[in-house]
Amino acid sequence: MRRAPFILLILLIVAWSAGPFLWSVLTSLKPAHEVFRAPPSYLPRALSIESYTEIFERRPFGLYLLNSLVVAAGSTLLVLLLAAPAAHRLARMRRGRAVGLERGFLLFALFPPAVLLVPLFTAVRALGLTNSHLGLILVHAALNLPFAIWTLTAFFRELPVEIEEAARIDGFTPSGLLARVVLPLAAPALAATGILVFIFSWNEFVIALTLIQRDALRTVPVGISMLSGATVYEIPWGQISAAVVLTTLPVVAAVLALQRWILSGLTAGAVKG
Amino acid sequence: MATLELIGVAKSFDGRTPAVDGIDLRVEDGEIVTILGPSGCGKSTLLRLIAGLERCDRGEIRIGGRAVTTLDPKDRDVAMVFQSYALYPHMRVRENISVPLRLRGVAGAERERQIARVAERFGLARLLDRWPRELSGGERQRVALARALVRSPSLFLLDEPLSNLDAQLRDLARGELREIFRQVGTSVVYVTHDQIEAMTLSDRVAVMSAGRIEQVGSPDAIYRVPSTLFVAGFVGSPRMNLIEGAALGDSAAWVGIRPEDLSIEESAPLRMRAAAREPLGSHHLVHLRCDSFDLRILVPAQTHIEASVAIRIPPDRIHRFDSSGRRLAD
Repeated sequence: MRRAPFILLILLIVAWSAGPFLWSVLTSLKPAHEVFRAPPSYLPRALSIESYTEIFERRPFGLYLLNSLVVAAGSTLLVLLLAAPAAHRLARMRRGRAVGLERGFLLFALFPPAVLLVPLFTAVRALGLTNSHLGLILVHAALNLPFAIWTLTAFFRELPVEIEEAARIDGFTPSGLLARVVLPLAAPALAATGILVFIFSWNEFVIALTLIQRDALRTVPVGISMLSGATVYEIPWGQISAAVVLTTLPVVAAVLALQRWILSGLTAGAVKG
Repeated sequence: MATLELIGVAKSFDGRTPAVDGIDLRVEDGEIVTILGPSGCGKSTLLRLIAGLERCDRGEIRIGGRAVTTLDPKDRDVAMVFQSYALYPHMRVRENISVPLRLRGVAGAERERQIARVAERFGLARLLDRWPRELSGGERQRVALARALVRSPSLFLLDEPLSNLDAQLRDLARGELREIFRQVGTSVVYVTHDQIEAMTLSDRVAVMSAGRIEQVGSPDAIYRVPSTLFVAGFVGSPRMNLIEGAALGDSAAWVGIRPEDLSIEESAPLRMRAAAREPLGSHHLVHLRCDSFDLRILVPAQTHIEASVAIRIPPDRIHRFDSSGRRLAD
């Protein structure tokens, strides 16, 4: 078996990546007293969904989830709406002129958001958008726009330009061309980029923490960090784990569902073989 | 249906080297004109200028007497078939064909009628609900033609439409194309590097080289009376023999003679050595050599050739060119 070492390596990587998450799943299913047992029990001795009911009953976790969904979906939509036309134009510019702009976008994409925290906060406050989902959506979208434009440009450049030329001759207007020909063909790239933006926004902590102080508007990552026990000395690990599981699972499920579709090329049959 | 006029059309992509360098050409109503040239001669650029996919730097383009130089492709009323067919991969065949009609506001019932008509003509009726990826190369090519012709354009442009087909299919498609051109009666500009396509499909051929038109004429005229050295060397297969005039004691800078015009005659004064033989089926191409030049001669396949042969060059079949490549009067 020459493949054995390879398979072993893969299992190792999977264990390494999935380990913490699995531990969270197990912890979330233990009754509160078992979480703190020493030595720890690896598999729960008694299954309990008490941690799950707690976060919904004693905390506004459902509201956090809803807030996160609004912010992540909103910023993803905004990013794709702005990035797609920009990237398309950029991809169809003569190469020399586009390269400078693309490098600029890449540079901004590499900028650590934390560095921008103070100016961003000042800007959002000046707009009167602190403690609003719109403010957070705008910031998340702005931070992801350069990256999204950069990836989509690379994808659009791979689309056969003849299809668009045929469309122009057939009578499409520039906006019709984008909406009816380019975007449908770019659906896999839009989905891939969209998922990455969504995950960023879904997980983003520092900016969400800074821009939103009102508890009813908080997103999940901030909400989880605010979970606390009866005293400062008690960290409710069971509830934190339950919250982590509940926030991670939908994203994992969505990615798995879209994966096959993202990978399958949509342009097959357009030009040549 | 309309005439096409190109007046001093020029285009350069880098501002220095011209891709298309001052083209004048007139395509009459219903005429089929082929633009023939080697790759990189600017023929595809010229077609794209006519379609409006590129803008001219200089010159004017008129379709049906109307200046379209600055119009968008959709406003020029032209249809184009691309080398790669460029079908919409996310639309079924029926939708692909219906796009040009829908965008011009042709209503539902009338649209269906026209799609049915064009599907019938191109043998696509069975395939209307297929996706482009489910079609063979030949079928895709027919869909591309159907999409282009469904709305009777003023001008029909084709960019090497047969070059992605295998040789057998290409012969078949060439015959079909000629039939289609004759039926629709639209003016056609057809770009190709294949001289057989140019010869068989067109009323007139425009031979292009380095961004300029070398000669425009009927397929027969291009072959019989090439007006430049380039056309003489490019049109005709096997290639014309081109020899420096001095080697033959001629005052012209270049002398051309087609391999099929040479003959073997014992009494002829020019003696040459046979160097190599290329079988071409019914005929063989024989490479001949003497001290000052080489010649290729086309002979029937069974011809026996001695090591040394006497070659007759018929004076009336000679093409003479000056040092700038222009044809000298016969």
